[in-house]
Parts: sequence; structure tokens; C-alpha cells
Amino acid sequence: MKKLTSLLLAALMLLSLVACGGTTYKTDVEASAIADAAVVNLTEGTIFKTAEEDILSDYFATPDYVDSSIVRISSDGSSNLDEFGVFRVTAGKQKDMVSLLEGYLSNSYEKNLEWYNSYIPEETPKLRDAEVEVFGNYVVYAIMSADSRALLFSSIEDTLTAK
Amino acid sequence: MNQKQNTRLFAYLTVILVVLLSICAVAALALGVTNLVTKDPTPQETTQATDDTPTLTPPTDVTLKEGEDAGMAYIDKMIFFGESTTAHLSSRGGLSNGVGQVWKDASGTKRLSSRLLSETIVYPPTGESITLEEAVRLEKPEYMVLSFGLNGITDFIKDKASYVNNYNKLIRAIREASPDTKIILQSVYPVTAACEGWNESGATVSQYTRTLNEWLPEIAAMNPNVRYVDTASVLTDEDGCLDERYDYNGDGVHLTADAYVKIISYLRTHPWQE
Repeated sequence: MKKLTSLLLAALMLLSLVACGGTTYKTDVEASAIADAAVVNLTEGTIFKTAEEDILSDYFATPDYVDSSIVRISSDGSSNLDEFGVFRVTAGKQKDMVSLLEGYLSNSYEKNLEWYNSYIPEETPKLRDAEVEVFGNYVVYAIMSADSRALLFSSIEDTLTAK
Repeated sequence: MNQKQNTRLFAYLTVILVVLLSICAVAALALGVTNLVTKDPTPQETTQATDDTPTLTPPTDVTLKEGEDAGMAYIDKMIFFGESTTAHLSSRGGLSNGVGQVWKDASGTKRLSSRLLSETIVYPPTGESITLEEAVRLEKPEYMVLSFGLNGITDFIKDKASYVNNYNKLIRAIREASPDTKIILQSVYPVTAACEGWNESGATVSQYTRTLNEWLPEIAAMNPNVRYVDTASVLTDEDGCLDERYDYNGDGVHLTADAYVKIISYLRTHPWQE
């Protein structure tokens, strides 16, 4: 009887842990590989190219706690603002990275609004509505339409949780 | 197992279940808080890039001085890259090969920023969209004439480092792609006094262009094989604003064909000097 009870308890505990455990994300995927996989699923016809490493240097210097990163922008960057970035950070630094990226997005919006409105006003909502998401040790921002953002984030989620 | 043992076992299981559910609730709460934090739309302070603003004294010899007319053969060796006033050279500039000599993209304008080198131009010989560096590597122009500053001027005037550092990056990129290319920085053109393109008066914006034009020789002096040419001087009225005769469409910024004749003539008569 005791054996049965122990087994029952162990099974119950295991079940509970599985049920309430958060999503486990991989930590060993390079940012470029995540971006490559994500781009395949973006279906709006935008061709993304890898940006220069210092593309965000007008806004912040890449912190030391980022050990893999990539920014992809639309190859037609002057008329299509689509852009996203993937940053793998040291555990515990996600919030810092989120702050940096949200600062970049809000400052970029403020700084460029007048400029973009003067020649590509239809694109400015992408920057206004840009989002930052966290997937384990990866922090991702996306400047694109709502549908594309959803696709991008879901694709990254899949990449980082795939068995 | 008797009734008493059953009741005790049930009580144990209930206690364990309550404890586990509590753990789950705490974990869920923690995750929820994390998500809320990541979704916080409040603008945050950003850390500016730490490049120092260079403070070199500009030597006078980087500014191209008046000399003999170098003729159109000299102009024909130039590739122009810059803002909309540069892009319009292709149609109103009187160049021998306006389409081929002016590099631009579909929007017809560019802005000096940390994005510039990641963006593309339509490379005239092939029609492909490629980066400036790629185009320079393919073309290896003898001269590249750059003109940046009016787009974003109200930001630059508050942040010299951004202007200087991004210009230096652009120059370095060209140099790496084509070490023998000679680079000429054009002065930033003023706008008319009546210009309403910014939240500030045309006179104020024109004053800003003069400030940037004091920085440009400094930038030229920091780099080998780079010169500064003050083409804006032929477009400026006595108040330091764009002479209204050169205002193409009344916006106070864009230039007439006559203005480009003046600019090209100034470039020809202020040729490259070693």
C-alpha cells in the first residue's frame, strides 16, 4: 500500500510540475539562425538583408551582455520600414535589453516621424506600433505590420522551442 | 486499508495538491509580471553611443579653392550621393550622364544616420538594389561628391557627434571599398527665409546649415583624400538664406535648374587640389 501511495504521489508531483512549468527555450541558437528561420515565414514579399553591425549606434551601444545579435531590415529600406532584431543576452539581463530596445523604438519614432511622414506616411504606423518580446534569453523587436509581427514572433517561438 | 487510513491518505494528497497549486500560482504570477514589464510601452532613456565628438581644428587646405575651370570632363568623373537636392541633379543638374552619375533609391532622398550604410541604392548600370559600399566596390569612382545635413538638421544641430561620426563612417566605408576614390564633401544648402519645412523659421534652419558647414571642413580634415567645397555659397542671399530665385517649387528647399548650373560651375572652378 505504501509503495502504491508513493508512486501515486510521485506521479502527481511530476504531473503538476509539467503542468505549471513555463516554456523552456533553447539558449544555443545563434541570432542569425533564428532570423533566417523567421524570414522564411514572413509572407508579405519583403526581402530582408542583414544590417551593418552598428546600425543602432545612433541610439545605444550594444551592451556586453549580448553575445549574439542580428538586425535585419527591408532591402527596400527607403520605402519599407520593416525591420527586426534578435539579441541573445545573459540570463537575468532580459529586462535591461527590453528597456534599451523600447528606448530605441520610441526615440526612433520621435526622431523620424516628421521625416518619414514627409515621404512614406503609410509606413509610420509600423514604427509607432513596434513591439519587443522576450523568448527565454532572446529579446526580439519588430517594426512591421501587426500580421507580420505576429508571424515573426510565432516563428521565433517555434524555432526556440522545437525539439 | 481501513476507513481511517483512507481518510489520512486523502488528507495528505489534498495538502500536497494545495502546495503544488500554490507553487504554480506563484510561478504564473511571476511570469505574468515579467510579460507586463516587457510590454511596458513607456519610453525609456537610451544609452547614447559612446563615440567621442572629435575636436580637430580644420586646416584651411581641405577647402577647395578657386582655380582654372576643370571642364565637364572633371564633372563627368564624379558620382553624386546625398539628399533630395542631390538626387535632383539627375534630372535638373545638366550632367552628361545624370542617371548614371547620381546614386539614389526609389524615394529619391537619403539621410545621414547609422542606418545609411545598411540601406540600398539602385545601382544605375544594373538596376539592382545594393548597398553603397557594394556600388562603390563595383564602380570605383574617381570622385564621390557627398551632400548630407539638411535631412535631420534639427537633430544634428543638437548632436554634433552624431553628424560627425556618421559622416566619418560613410567616408570610411567608401574608402574601404575603393581606397583611391577622392571624396568631396559639399556644403549643406540653405533654405529660403519663407521655408516652412521645419518647426523653425527658414532663417534659423539656414543658420543651422552654416553651423554644419563649419563642421564639414573638420570632418574632411580627419580623413585622407577628402576635401570640402562650399557650393552653398553660390545659392545664398545676403541674409544667409537660399536665394528665392533658386527655389524650384516654392517649398524653399528644392533647387531650380539654374541653381544646379551654378553648383556645377562652382565645382568646375574649384577643382580637386592635392
